[in-house]
Amino acid sequence: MNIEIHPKQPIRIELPSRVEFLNLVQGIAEEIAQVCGMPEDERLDFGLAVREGAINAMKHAHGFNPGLPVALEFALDQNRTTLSVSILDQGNGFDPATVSDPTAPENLLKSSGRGLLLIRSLVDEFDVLNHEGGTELVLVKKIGALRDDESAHGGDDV
Amino acid sequence: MRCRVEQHGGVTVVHLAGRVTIGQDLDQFREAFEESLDDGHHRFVVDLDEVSYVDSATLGEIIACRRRARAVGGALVLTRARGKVRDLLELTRIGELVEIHATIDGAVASLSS
Repeated sequence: MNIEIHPKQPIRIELPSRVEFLNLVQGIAEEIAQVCGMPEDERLDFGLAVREGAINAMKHAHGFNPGLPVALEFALDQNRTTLSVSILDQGNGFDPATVSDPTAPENLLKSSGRGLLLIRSLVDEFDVLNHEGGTELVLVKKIGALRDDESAHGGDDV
Repeated sequence: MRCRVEQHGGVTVVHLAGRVTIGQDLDQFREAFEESLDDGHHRFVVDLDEVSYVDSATLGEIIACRRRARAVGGALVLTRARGKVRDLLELTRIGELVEIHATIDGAVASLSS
C-alpha cells in the first residue's frame, strides 16, 4: 500500500509524556519524511531533531508526566519542498534567547542543555512560539536533493 | 543499542553500538559505567565505532561520566567517533573537552602512560 502525504492534510498525533514513546516519535518522523521523498541522511537528521523537540516537551515542559500529552503535527508545504512539524506542550514556556549557549566555555561541562543546539543544526528553520497554556516548537526541513531532482523533471504528480 | 565492557590492562573499554539515546539505552551505558567504577576501575575508553547516532542526553551523559571518573582520580576518553556522532561532538564542542582517539590502542595507551 502506497502512502501519500497531502499538503492540505497534516498528520496529527498525540502521545503521553513517557520516555518509551521517544523512539516511536522518531520513527514516525523518519517514516513521514521518507514518504515525502526526503533523502536518507536528511531523514535521520529530521528524525533526530523531532526526537530532541519531543524530549524538550516531555522532559523539560512536562517532567515526563504521562498525564500531560504532547501533540505533534506534520505538514507538507503546498510546493512539497519542505516538511514541517509543530510540537506542542502544556508547559510554562521559555524564551530561547535566554537559554545558555552550551558551547560557551563555562557551559561545556554541563550535562544538559544541548537539545536546542542540536535541533537548530539539524533542520533549516526553527521557531519557538509561546502560547497561552503551552509552547510550540516549529521545525522546518527542506525535502532536499531527491525532491529537487524530481521537480526539475516535472515528476511531481503525487 | 548494545553495550559490551572489556578490560585492557587496567583500562575499562566500553564498546557501544547502534543508536544510543535517552531511556533504556542510556541507562544500560550508565549502569555499565557505574558497575566498573564501583569495582574500582577509574580509567575509561568509550568506543563509538559502531554507534550510528547519539542524542543530547547521551552527550550529556558522556560529560557526566567523565566528571565522575575524574572525581576519583581517573579519566574518560573517546575513540573511533565517526559520521553523525563525530559531527555532533564537534558541534557541541565536546570534542574539545574530551579526547577523541583514532584507535582503541591509542586511547588505552593515553590512559596507561
